[in-house]
Amino acid sequence: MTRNPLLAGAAAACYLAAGLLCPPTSETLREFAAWFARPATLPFAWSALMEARQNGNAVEMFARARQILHLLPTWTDGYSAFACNFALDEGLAAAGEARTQRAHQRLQVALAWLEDARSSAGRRETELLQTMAFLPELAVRQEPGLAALLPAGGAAAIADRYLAEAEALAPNAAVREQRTFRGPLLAAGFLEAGDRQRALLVLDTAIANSVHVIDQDLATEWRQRLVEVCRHLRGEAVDLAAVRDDPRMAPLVPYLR
Amino acid sequence: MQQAARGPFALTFRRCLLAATLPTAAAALLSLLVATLLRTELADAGEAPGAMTTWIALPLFVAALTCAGSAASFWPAFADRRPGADWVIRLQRGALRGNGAVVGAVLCAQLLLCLPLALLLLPALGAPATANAHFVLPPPPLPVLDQHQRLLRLPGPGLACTELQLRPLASPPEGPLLVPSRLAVRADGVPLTALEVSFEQTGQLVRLPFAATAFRELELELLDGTVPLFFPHGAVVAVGAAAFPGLGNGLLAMLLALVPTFLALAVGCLCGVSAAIPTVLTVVAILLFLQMLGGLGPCGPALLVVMRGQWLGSGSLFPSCYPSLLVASVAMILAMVLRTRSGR
Repeated sequence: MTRNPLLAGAAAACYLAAGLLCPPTSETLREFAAWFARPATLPFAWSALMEARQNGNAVEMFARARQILHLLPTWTDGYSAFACNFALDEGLAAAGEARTQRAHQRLQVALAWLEDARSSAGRRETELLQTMAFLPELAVRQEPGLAALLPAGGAAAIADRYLAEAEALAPNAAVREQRTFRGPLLAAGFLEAGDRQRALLVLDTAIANSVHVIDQDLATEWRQRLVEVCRHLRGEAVDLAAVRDDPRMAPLVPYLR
Repeated sequence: MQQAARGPFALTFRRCLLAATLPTAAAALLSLLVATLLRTELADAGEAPGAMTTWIALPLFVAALTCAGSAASFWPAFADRRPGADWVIRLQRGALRGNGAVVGAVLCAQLLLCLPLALLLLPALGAPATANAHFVLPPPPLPVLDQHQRLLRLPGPGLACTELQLRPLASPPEGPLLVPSRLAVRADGVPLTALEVSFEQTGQLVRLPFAATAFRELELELLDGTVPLFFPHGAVVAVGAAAFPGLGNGLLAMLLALVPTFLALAVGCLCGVSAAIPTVLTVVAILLFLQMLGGLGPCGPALLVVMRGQWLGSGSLFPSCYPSLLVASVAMILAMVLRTRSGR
């Protein structure tokens, strides 16, 4: 009986001392709370996302994705996939003249969301910037009228701005060319949702971007792999042995059966 | 009158309201706060009330859990080895020892607590003010549109509709090129819309609004394209023209939210024949959690339907409650038989 109060007092003193020596930041406390919230809520959040994908609309799916990513703020691949899905979703497209306006609005929302996610991305912030550089090009390829609504220089200027920021964060000659190598990851996100057409759009854009790869031998080989995947997705008979052996294509392999 | 006020129903009802009102109100306020923050974040993307179901399910769960928990721990005859149970059993001569009235009181108290949620919280979370019936058109035996079968006929609802929602599954293209499949949509042989209907991806949702039309047969004809389309159950939905009040829809959802509580208490009552109160409370809490938040019961789908502006009365959600009601009734009957045999 006498030991318990002593032990409790010692534990409280240790906690107090730890708090004084290393005061927790709001981010640490938030992350600590998230440890408990994640296992309790993520399974339901995922099933709700799947339900929204099957029976809801794209805005509902976007909202569900945001709820998941509130719990997983450093999951940059998730941000990239969901933002691209929202920006390029045809289900949200309007008819007639409003179509381009809606496409522009979706792009702005997706970019703003990715911008917001940068603060919590940590060392993977450059990946978000590469996606942000990639996204306007994808949107313009899907909706050519969108180019007129973008600032001077169009999608290329926006991409340059984000890539310059990425280069400032990670001074590396490969940052600019790595954007093409994110293509399979983003395309896999669309294929997972059964959206073959958007996946082809992403891969075609990645093929176009491959001209920025400095090593031309590498660029040629990479382009060849992407072309093989595109032909397969278009229903042609293609030997995919080289694709399956290429680790950079790993995100796509499960969808190439 | 005085005897009724001291009976198990009235006593438990008051106890449930005392125990559950504050937690439910607190959960509702918390849900409203979180949902408002999320809706503000989403303002640019558009309205998605369907994504807010979590925040209506939470106060419902709190109401059900506190009502059921307080009733189970309040009524001495609900679980085994409770102090005062012998006195109650002497006074309550019925086969259920007053547990039937206790369950009824919990359901009434929960319904009373849920009424403000339907009246105030549902609209505050963005539930549409009106709801339309959604008729799922049953597919034919082979619901595929491809090069071999270019026409599908589905029976219509026979009521005035204003929108058709098509969400087929798509297979890999037939042939070397992927050309989106274009469809002509006819109602009783008359083209339903001038809009082009084409599909290229699986699960792609196309909404076709049209002037209110009642039709008995819907025809989907493949005009061109290489993407085979599969229309399983639920892929073709006609939206009724008649608008029902959203409030009525909310109240129906609150009625459906009683089913998980009934099932949990019935199974708890059965366990209580030989288990003590901690076990009974654990069983009740787990069953409520699985049904109301885990998506196993009708509550989650009902809330989703309400938030999406679909009329609950037109769907299959009420028939989907029958298994839960059946299990609960069997559990209550078993509890009755076992209690009569054991004399407790």
